[in-house]
Amino acid sequence: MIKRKIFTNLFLLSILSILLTSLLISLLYFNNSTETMKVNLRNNANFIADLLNVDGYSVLEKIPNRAKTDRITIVDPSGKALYDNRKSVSNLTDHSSRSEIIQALEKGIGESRRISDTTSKDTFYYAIKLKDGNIFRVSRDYPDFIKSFLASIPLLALIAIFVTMISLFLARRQSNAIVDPLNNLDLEQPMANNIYDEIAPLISRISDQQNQIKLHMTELQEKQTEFNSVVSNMKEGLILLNQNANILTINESARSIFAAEPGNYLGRKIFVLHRSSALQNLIESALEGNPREDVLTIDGHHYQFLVNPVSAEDKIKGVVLIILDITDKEEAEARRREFTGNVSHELKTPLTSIRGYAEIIHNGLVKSEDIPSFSGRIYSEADRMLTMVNDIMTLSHLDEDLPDLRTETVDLLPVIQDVSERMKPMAAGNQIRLIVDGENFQIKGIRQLIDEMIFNILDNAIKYNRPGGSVRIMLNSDANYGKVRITDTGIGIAREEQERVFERFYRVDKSHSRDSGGTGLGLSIVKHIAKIHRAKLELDSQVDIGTSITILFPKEQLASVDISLEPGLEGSE
Amino acid sequence: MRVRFDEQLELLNSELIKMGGLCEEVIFKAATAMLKGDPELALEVIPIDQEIDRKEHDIENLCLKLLLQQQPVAKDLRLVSAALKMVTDMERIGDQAADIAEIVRMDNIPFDNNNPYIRDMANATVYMVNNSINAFVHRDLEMAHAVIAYDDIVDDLFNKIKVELIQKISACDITGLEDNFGEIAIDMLMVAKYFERIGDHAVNIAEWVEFAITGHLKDT
Repeated sequence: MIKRKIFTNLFLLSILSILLTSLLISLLYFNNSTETMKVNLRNNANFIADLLNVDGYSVLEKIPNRAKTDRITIVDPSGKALYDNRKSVSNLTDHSSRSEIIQALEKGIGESRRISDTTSKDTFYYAIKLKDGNIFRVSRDYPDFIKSFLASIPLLALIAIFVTMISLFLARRQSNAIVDPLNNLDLEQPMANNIYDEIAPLISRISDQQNQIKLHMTELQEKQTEFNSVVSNMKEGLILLNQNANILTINESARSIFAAEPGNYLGRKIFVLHRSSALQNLIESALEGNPREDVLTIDGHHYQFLVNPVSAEDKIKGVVLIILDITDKEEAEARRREFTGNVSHELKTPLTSIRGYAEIIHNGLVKSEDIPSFSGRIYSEADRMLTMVNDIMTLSHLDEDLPDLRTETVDLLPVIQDVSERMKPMAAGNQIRLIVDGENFQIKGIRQLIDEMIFNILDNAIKYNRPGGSVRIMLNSDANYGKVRITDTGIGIAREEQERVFERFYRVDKSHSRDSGGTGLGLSIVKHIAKIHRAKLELDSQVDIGTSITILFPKEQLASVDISLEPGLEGSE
Repeated sequence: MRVRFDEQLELLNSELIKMGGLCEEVIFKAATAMLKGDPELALEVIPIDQEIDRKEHDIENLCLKLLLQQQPVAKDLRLVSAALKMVTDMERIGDQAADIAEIVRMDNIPFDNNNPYIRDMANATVYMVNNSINAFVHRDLEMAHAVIAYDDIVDDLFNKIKVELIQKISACDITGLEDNFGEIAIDMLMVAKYFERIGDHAVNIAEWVEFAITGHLKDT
């Protein structure tokens, strides 16, 4: 476009200047030529007049016709034409009134310019009075300006064509000169461009914008990176869908939750990943604008799906899907419920029987000789309850914190001997031998708790033993651990139950029979105390052969103990 | 026009996947209800079956609309025609799962969970239905072939169940069996047959998937 504009301007300008110039030149030339013509005519006339004066009129016959470009007329003083080289004399009217003739008669020379009566042309006349009194007149047509100008038009046209071509050429060159640098502008580094000054402001503006764009880009990229790293590192699954349920974003966690095969899922329907009707319903309702949540089970894991519509300008633009793995939470919840159920059950059972016995006695239905046995049962049930409440308190005590317990250096062997001494009567009652052997080692710990731990393990080892069996307590230490191993010859624990025996209220005997008098909390307390001392517990057991529990005190524990444990374990443990 | 066509094809695709998901659910629920003898779970099968019927209707309409208005060719035509056939098979799967659920719901059959054949059969058909849908979702030819090959296993299991029942009956040792053995035997046979039919439908789906991918129709 710019090319055409430049061309038009150039062309108009040149044509106009050519026209004006030629007009002016024509004018100047024309003026000049008129004067020349007059001078010529005068000279010619004077010359011929001289000839006529000298040689007489016969001269006229001798002038060759080709020289007779001018009209020559001879008029006598009365105004009658005597001779004319163009017209027949008889046709000529009286010339006495012509101004040049009058002037010539008066002054000898006269001239005038007028439209000729005879030829009807703009004519210049020059008249001289001859010696014989006749008037010799020469006349020539005035040059016609228009005519002479028109005569130059073919030339002008030629020049115009030439000018057009030059203009075209120049226009192209000029526009290229303007446009090419713009087209080849290096937009990445605008300031590095070295072209004409006129576009310097443009370039600096481009440069400014370039910088701004870079700034924005960096910001955006940072945000994108931030978003990506947040999304890809989050444990929760995150999926963004558009209004057609096509996937816009999906993070790694979501992929692994759906066990998605590697591949590009962007732009595909979410249902390619998972097609259960529960998810279909969730997403459909979200696309209708209702946020929903639901728990779905995929491959044995429980996932909480939070589905929220994303709307802009009152239109649903998409859906955000957040997926949380709540398997652990659900299981913990289940265990907690079980624990609460167990506590109430365990406490209720002895209470019920106490109430039952008491009621019977109260109603006087018991013979007096039976009262001791009844009250004995009440006593033993109450005792069991008390033990259990003590155990629960111990546990919750351990759960909370350890306020008034002192860490000290404890010699293990004396503590164990002390405990086993106390257990001797009970062991003897069950016909069980207690053997303590091995070498003493010291640990930093809480004497009272270690006592409790050993007591609980021994208690179990005796209770779940068989008559004539034994319980052996071995102490030794190696490079890494100080070990206490308690081995019994009891009923053992089945493999599938070994993991659960440390849970609260978990009993190997499902019947919850209380023959053995256990509370189901003993090993749970053991586990807790071991944890406080950072000791590991190892359980090795075979049904009907026996169980051995090993407490491994790590070597550093032999130096210090950390009381500031995490407060309270999950209630399920 | 073209954009609209692509949208409709994508819609067809996702509707088929959704319907496939429903089929998986219905067969999974029916099989679980049968294995656990859980009539409550069996009840849940009915609404899903109805939903499947609705979906079949919708998808058929969509297919016809596509055929009439867009006149698809080549791959697209194959997808649409395969879809038309697949929904029929899926619908049959829904019906047969509902039939199984109906038998479970009658409740008087203490299903012998320890009968390994019927359990294997239930698991095998669930697997086949799952994978035939997966083959469609991922356009996975190998998986489709695996499903087709798996049918032999299901047929074999059906025969084993049949033979076992025949042996029990012909032993005439009725005295050692439960009182309603006849009823149980017939129900068992029917359930087995339904599973076997579901397996066949899964094979059909897999074959249509193959047709949609390759254009090659397995001659049977």
